[in-house]
Amino acid sequence: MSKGLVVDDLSITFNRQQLEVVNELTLQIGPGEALGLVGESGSGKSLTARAILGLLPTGAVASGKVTFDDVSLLDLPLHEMQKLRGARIAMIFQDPMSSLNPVLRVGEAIAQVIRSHEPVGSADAHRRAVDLMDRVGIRDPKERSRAYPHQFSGGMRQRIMIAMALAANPALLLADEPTTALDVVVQAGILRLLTELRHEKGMGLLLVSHDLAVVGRVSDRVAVMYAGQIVEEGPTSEVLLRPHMPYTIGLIACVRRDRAQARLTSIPGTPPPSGTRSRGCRFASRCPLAIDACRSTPVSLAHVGPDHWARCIRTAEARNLTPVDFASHKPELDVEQGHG
Amino acid sequence: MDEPLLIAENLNKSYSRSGGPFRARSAPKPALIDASLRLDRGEIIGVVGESGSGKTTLARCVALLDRPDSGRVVFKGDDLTALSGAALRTRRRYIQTIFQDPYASLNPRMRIGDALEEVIRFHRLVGRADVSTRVKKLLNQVGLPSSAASAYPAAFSGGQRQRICIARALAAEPEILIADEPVSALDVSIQAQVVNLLLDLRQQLQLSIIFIGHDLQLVNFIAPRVIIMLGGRIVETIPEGKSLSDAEHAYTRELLDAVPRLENLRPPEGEGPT
Amino acid sequence: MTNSPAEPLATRYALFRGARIRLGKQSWSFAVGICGFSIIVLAAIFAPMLTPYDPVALDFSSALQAPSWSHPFGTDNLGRDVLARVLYAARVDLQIGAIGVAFPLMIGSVMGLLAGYFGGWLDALIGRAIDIVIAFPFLVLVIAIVAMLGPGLVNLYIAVTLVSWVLYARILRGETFALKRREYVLAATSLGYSHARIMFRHVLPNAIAPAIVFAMSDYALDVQLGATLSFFGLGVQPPTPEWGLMIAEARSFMLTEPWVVLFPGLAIVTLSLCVSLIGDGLADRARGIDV
Repeated sequence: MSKGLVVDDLSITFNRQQLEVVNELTLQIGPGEALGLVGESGSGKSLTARAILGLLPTGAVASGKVTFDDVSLLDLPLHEMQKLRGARIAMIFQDPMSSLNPVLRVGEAIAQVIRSHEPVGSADAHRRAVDLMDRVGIRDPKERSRAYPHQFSGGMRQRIMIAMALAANPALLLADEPTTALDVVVQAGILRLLTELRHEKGMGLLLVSHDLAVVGRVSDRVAVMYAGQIVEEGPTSEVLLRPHMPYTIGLIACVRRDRAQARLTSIPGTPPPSGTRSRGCRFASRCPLAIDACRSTPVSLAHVGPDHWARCIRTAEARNLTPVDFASHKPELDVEQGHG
Repeated sequence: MDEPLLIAENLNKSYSRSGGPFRARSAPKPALIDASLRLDRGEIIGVVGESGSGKTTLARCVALLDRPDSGRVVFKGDDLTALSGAALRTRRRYIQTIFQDPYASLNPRMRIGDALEEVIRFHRLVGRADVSTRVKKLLNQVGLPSSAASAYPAAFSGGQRQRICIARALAAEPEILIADEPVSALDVSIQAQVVNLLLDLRQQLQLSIIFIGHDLQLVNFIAPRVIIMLGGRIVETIPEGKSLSDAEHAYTRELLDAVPRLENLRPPEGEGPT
Repeated sequence: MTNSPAEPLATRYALFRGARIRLGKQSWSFAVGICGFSIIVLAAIFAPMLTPYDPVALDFSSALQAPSWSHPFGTDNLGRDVLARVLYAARVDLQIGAIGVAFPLMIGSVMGLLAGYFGGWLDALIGRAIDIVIAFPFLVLVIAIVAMLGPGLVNLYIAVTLVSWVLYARILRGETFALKRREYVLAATSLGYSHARIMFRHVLPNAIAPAIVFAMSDYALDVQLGATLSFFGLGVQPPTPEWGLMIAEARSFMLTEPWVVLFPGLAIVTLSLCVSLIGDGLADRARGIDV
């Protein structure tokens, strides 16, 4: 029985530990589960996903423990990792234009994935590639399999990427902002496709996105990241309907477009520069509820509901936050931040 | 009845692709077909469309950054499309544009203060002695400290760069601001900051704004009147007062349905004004 | 520092390695290049103080002496001290490189800028001119022009400028095309700035970087070109010391008295190397700048 993905105290640092962009992150994705990892730029969410498959940029060092089906991934030798990539865990990225090899016909690209993981002849592999293209919603798949990536639109290219990701039947799919570069209508189609495929194949999904609503539509559970830490985590409806951490509350308020409001709710200030460590809560400088205790002692995840955790010591007061509290709060300027 | 500040009439624009040395010129693809709009003083209108809808081409043509193949752009009675050279340049500054990519919108080799001063000095908008005070005032107006003037764009984040672009646009004392997807490339919490800034500035300075975006709900929030574009044409205009859900055109409805929304979940108890 | 999902991951985290770059291999070679070049320039300037010998004074009694304490680089067939000649020749060669680069850089950049910015018939005209000049082999064309005008440094400069400008024009034209539609250039247009202001204040400073990097390797090539032409008798005339000329004059006894050829040759190589290292360093820096 597959035990899924377990990430335990993952930290990612640069420059000999001077910059810490992900801090002791812990999460789990069981077989067939979908977890949405939400955060703004610089929160460390993309790096977390890449760390799982050993795709970190040069200079990044990952520590902690990442296991998939009880196999430890962080120290896995390259040839073992290559067997895992695509076959057990697959990944799709944000920009389909640069993720597909422009000189390979798409059918061939998909067939190559199949052949590199299974001892299958090229005719068979090609047939399966065409089937996959059909499954992901590309019309006339047999003809289109001979086309090149530039002959497809952005949404179609993303579907081809998904087909490549599924080609070897992985148990887990990592999706790093898969719909951010796509139009809204196209995005809806891709999200629908991902949900169907998940249920069909019992595949797990880690969806990384800055868009709360996208994550809300697709995931069973949501983890909200801020400045390298998970600050809230729980079942999707719980986190999005009953958020307990001020950042989550602020983020949800930011996307409300209620015409009754005169202004959009915004969270004053800006996130701390990527990599800064701090003693206490990393959101304190922007939080309307911050008190001295918040800034001086590290805050750990507290249980706030059924399987629902929030990294805040004032969750009770947080429940009463209103957009006005954010609007009227003046963020502190760190020396680091310069022009806050 | 006041005359409209800006009228764009029947704008058409195609970009021809030359196809390289081995291919014949391929048929030009029309990017904008018969588009017209009207902007009154102090008004905000929204333009919504997906990529390829022609909204950016419309923005470029209205600002005369691209010449429309046919049609007119009339600003305060002057037909800008009939002007060129110095005559056009003197009128240009009244229509400023904020662009989508904050990382390409500022000259990387110019200090912020110098860029703002350049605008003011070039148009001789204030006396020599008052230029640096005006620069400081502009920076503060967009929420940046005066010390920002001595820094280069590389020192700033995306949201800050957009603010600087807004300051630069304001330095020209424009009457119309065209915001071409000004927040699409920014994080959600910063988007809200920049949008609020635009709304505040409009109130303070009586600016007219054309706000362009692909996020129907955001644009509808900002602009009482919204134009929907598809394939280079304007397919629907949602007038002031009408709700999005009453939209008539099939595409508009498709856009509405496609957007994943948090509001589809039950509204949370005890959070914010409802 | 970001706020934008649009910023590519690799770029964002590249800045974290910035602290390393200062001590990294790239900067090391840049420093070596600058130091070497400065030493050569200083040696050229202070040549009279570094050697007691007159580079053109004849002294047949000391002809073809091997390197020794009194003549560190030996003497040539006319008894002239090779070290002194190498030092004084540095003035000529440094100048050849500098002028051979400066004029084409200025003229070519402006032409390329105009062609790229205005497009249309101006671009067609300049583009054709570039195509024509580029069709000829560089050295052949330079030699042909010098042969027509007559030997001498000034004619050499004229010839090099007439031919090399296209290399810079091409670079600037390409860069200008790319930058023309950049949003900050559009902003400058909508602010009502004149074409001249936009071209020289907004486009040129951002387009020139690749041309400057190229100029460094062009410098080295021009020094070698000067040496080559002098070798053929078309450049500097004797008795003016110039590295290429020194090699030419010594070629008949190259095998028996190699030092007369060796030291000027090494000088050419060293100067070229230093300048190339500077170019590499600039290229590395330019790559990191526009974020």
